[in-house]
Amino acid sequence: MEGAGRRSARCPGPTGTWAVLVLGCAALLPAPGRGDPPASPEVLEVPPIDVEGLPPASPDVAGSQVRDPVDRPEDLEAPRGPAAAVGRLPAVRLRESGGPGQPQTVMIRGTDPSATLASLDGVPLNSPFLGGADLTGLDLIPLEGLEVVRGGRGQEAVGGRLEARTPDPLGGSRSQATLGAGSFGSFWLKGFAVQPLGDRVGLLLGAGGQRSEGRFPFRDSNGVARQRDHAASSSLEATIRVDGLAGAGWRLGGLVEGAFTDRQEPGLEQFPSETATHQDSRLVLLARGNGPLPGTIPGSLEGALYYRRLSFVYRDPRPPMGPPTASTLIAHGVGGHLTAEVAPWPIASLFGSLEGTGDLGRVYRLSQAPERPARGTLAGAVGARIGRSSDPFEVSGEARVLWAQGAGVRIAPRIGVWWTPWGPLRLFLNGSRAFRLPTLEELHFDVGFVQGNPDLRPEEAWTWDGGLEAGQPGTWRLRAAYFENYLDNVILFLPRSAFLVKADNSGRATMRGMEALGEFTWRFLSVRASYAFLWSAFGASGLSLPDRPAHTVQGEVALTLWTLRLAVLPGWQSSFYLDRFESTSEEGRFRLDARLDWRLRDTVRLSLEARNLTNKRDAVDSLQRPLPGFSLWAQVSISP
Amino acid sequence: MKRLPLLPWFLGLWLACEPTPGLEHDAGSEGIHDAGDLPASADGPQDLPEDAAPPPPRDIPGIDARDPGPDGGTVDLPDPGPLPDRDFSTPEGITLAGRHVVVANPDFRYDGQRMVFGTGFLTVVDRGSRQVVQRIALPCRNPQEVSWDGTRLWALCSGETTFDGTLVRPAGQAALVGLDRSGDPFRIVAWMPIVPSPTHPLVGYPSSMAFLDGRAYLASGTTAALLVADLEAGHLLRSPDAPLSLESLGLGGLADQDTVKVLTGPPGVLLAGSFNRDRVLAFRLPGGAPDPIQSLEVGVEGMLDGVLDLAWRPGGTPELYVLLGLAQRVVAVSDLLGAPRVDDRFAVTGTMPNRILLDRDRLWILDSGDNRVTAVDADTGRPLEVRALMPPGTNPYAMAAGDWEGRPELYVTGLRSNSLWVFDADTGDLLAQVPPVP
Repeated sequence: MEGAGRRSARCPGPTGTWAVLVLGCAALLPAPGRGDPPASPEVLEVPPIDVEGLPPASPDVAGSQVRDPVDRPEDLEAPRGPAAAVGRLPAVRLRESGGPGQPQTVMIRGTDPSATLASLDGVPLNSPFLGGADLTGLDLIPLEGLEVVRGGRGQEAVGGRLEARTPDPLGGSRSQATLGAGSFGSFWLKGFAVQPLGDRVGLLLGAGGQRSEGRFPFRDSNGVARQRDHAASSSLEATIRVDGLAGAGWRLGGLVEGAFTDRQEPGLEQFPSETATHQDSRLVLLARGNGPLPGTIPGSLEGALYYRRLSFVYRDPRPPMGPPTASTLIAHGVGGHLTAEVAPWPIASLFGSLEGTGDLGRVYRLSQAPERPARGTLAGAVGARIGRSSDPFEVSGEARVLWAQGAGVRIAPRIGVWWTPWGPLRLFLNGSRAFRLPTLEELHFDVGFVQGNPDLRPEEAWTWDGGLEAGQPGTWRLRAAYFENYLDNVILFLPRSAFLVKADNSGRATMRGMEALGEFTWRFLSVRASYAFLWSAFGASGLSLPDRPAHTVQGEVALTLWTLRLAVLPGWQSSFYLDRFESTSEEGRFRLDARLDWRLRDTVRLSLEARNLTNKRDAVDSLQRPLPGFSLWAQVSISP
Repeated sequence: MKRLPLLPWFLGLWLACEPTPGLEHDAGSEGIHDAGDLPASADGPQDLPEDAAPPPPRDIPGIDARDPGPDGGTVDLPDPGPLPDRDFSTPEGITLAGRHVVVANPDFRYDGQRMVFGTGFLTVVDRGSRQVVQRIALPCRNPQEVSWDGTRLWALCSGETTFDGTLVRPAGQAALVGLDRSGDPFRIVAWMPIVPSPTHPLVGYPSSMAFLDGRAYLASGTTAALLVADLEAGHLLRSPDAPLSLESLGLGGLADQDTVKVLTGPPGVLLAGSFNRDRVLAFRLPGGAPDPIQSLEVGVEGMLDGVLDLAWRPGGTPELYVLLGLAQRVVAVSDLLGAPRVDDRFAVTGTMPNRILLDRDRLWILDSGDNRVTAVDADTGRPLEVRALMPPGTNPYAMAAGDWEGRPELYVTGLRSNSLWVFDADTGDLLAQVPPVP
C-alpha cells in the first residue's frame, strides 16, 4: 500500500479509473508531517488527471498522524545513504554502532528499535529474533522514498514506523547508476532501471554492492589515540519489482529483494575482537494487489502476501572473553493482509482488515541442540473515517483485535482527529494502544547463564500525541507536537544473581516529549531546523532510560545556485546515560556535516559529503563503541 | 564457573543484534570473589618484614605433594598437578606480604564451551627486583583470593560449580591453604579442605575471606552463609554441613542463591555485603552466632545493583565504602554503628568495576571494563587526577597498594594479560609489567 494514502474529493474517488493524483493531489493536501503545506481555504481547481495507479485510500494511516517523508533527492541519494536523513528528523534517533557498514537501527519518540517497525514496501524488516531492523542495507536499495510515521500501531510499533518504498515500475522509464568512494577505504556501486514492458507492465531492476575497510582513528575512553580495526564490511543487494495493470482497475505487483552483508566485528572498545564475524542475509518475496471493490460499491480492496527470510550468523572462534561462539539464527516469516474500505456516504467511509503473520525460526548454537522457535499472530480491525476532503476536519477510529501465540487476545484501539480552524493552521490529536511481542530470543534464548523467558508477556503501551502545524506553501512551515508513551511490562534482560541473567517483564516506563520542526525557503536559501525534547523514566526506579538524549537539535542551511546546492548540517544532542542506573554517561556533542551537490544537465549528479567536520573522535555509541571522526565521501550518479 | 562478566556489554550487544553468547561465561571481570583482605594498611610498608634480604633466584618449582610441614612434620596434600609454563595464569587475587607481592592464579581456560581449571598456584614477586621468585602449586582448584595476615599467607581456593539452569551449586572440593615464610620464601603449612554438603547443597564455593580473632570467615559465593576456620588449629569450625546462615540478619536462607562479600570492620565486627539483596550488614559473633548491629539497603529500590566489594576506613567519615558492580557506583556510609548516613552516589565508577581499595586518603576503583584504575578522594568522592592505565584487553582484576622504598606503588593483576602491573600510585605512571613484555 504505497502512495499518497490520503483521500480527497479533489481527486477522483476510489471508484472509476485508478485516478490517483499521486503527485499533484498529494502535494496540495494537508498532511501533517509529510512536508506538505496545509490546505488552503481557497478551493483549487485541479483538472482531472487520469493516472492509473494506486488506490487512493489507505486506512492504514490516519490523516492526523504525524508523518515525515524523506524523499528529497539529496537525502535519498546522499553518499552515505538515506538513513542519515532519517536520523535528522525530530524525535528520531539513529542508533549507530561503529563505522561505515556497521549496523544502524532507529528509535522513534524514545522507543527501542525493537518497538519501531521498519518495512520495505509494507514487508516488516524487523528480526523476529532480535527485534530491531538494520537500516544500513537501505544504502543499496533503490528507493522512491522513506517515511516516518509517528505513533503506536497494533502489535508492531509503539513509537512509530519507518516505511521504505521502492520506485514505482509504472512511473515511467528511468535509470540511474551511482559510483562512490570515501574514507575508511569505502566504495560502492549501485544502479537501477525502471522499464515499461508494454503498456500495462513495468519492471524495476536494481542492484548494488559496497565495501569498506572500516578502519578509523579514534580516542578511547582512557584518552588514548587508537585505531579501530577489524571493522570491514561488504554488502550485496538486488531488487526486482514488477507491477502490472489488470482489468477492472486492478493493479498487481510483485517484489523480490535480497541482500547479504558480511561484517567483521570490531568488538568492544577496550576488548577489541580480531576474530568475530557477522553475516546477515535477507530475502523478501512480496505479491500484492489493489483495486476497486467489485460491483457498484464505492470502495477499494487491497491485499498482500509476503515471505521473508532473515538470517543472522555470528562466529567468534577466539573471543576476548569466554568460549568460542557460533550462532546461526534463521527466521522464515510469512504474512499477509487484506484491507477493504467502503465509502457508502460522502462524509464517511468504513474500513476493515485482516492480518496474519507466522515466523518459524531455526537456531543453531555451538554445542547446543538445534531449536525451532515459532510464533504466529492474527489481527482483525474495523474502523471508520469521517470527513470529506473538503471539510476542515477528519476523525478516524479503529478497533483492532489481536491474537498472538503465547500472548492471547488483546484489543488495540486507535483514534485520530485533525481540524483546520483557520487558514494555514491545522491541529491534530491521536491516541492508540499498541503492543510489542517478545522476540524469539527474549522468549527462548538460552546459553546457560543468559536466558530468555518463555513466560514473558508483551510490552503494552498507550500512546498519544497532539500538536499543530502551520505554513505557507513553498515558503515556510512549522510543526510542533507533544507526545507521551506509557509502557508496561517492559522487557529487559536483568540479572537475577551474580550468575544468572534472564529476560523479564520489568514494569513500567514513561516517555514524554516535544518535537518541533520548522522550514523556511526564500529564493536560493532554505533553512530547516528541528528540536526534540525527550524525558523518559523507568517506573520502578524513576531513573532515566539509557541512550536517550533529553535535547536534540538538528539543522540544515542550504544555498541553491543554479545547479549547485551547498548545505551545512549542524546537529547537537545533550548528554545521555548509557546504563539503567544513571551512572555512566556520554557527553553532549555537536556535529557538523556539509554536502555539495552539483547537477549537470539533469543527467549527472556529483555529490560531495563531509561528515563530522569538527573531527570529534571520542564519541561513542550506546554500547560505548567508538564512532568515527572526520570523513569525506564522493559520489557520481548518472541518470541517462 | 565464574560470575557473569561484562554483563552490561553482553546485554547491550545482544540487544543491538550482536548476540555473543561466549561472553556470558567469561571470568574476566568478575568481582564477587574478592578476598576479605585485611585493611589496606596491612599491606603497607609498616609491616615490612625482617626478611628484607635479597630475593632468592626465581624459577622455583611448585612444592612437592608432601611438603614439609611445621615442626619438620608433613602436611598431607593432594597432588596439585603440573604447573603451567607461564608465571601467571588468569591471575586474580593479590596481596602484599612484606617485600613480596603474591598473586593467586586459578589457571582456567575454555575447553569448547566448558570452563576447565588447571593447577591453581600462587606467584610470588619480589617488589624490589620485580622478578618472579617463586611459584607455589596449590592442592586445590580455582584459587581466587590470597591474603596476608601479618604472619601467614592464606590462599582461598573456591573450587568449582555446577549449574542446573537456575541455581549455581558448589561442586568438588574447595580449600583454605596457609603458607608461612619458613620456606623459600613461602611453603604450605596448613590445608583445610571444604567439601560440599548434601544437606546444604548451595553452601560452599567460598569466594571472600576476612580474619577476626584468630579465625577466618569465608563467605559463600553461592548463598548467604559463612564458613569459619580456626587458623591456629587449622581446621574448620563451621563447614558447609553446619554453616553460619545470615538469614537472621535479613539475607536469604540457605536454599536461596546469593553471593556474599565479607570484610573485617570495627574491632570485633564483621561486615558483609549481599550481591542479591543490595544489603550491607554489620554484626558480631558472640558465642558463634551472628548478633546484628546494622543492616542497610544500599541499592536502588526495585533493581539489582550488585554489591561487589567493601572497604573499611577506621575512624573516617565516611567509614564504609560499598562498590555496586552492576550500578557502577560507590556508596559511602558514615557512622555505620550509630545513626548511619548513606551517600548513595558517593562516586561513579567506570565500566564493570571490580574492586575498591582504600589507600590512605584516597579510594582506588578498579574498572575491569575500562582497563584502568582511578582514584577518588576518600572524604568527598571527588575524582582525582591519578589514573593507572593498561592496554586494551588487559582485564584488570584485583589490586593492592603499599609503599616500597619510599614510593607509593599500586599493583594490579591482569587477568587476560597474564601479568602483574606495577604503577606509581602518586602519578599513575607504569613502573613495570611482570613478566616484562618482550
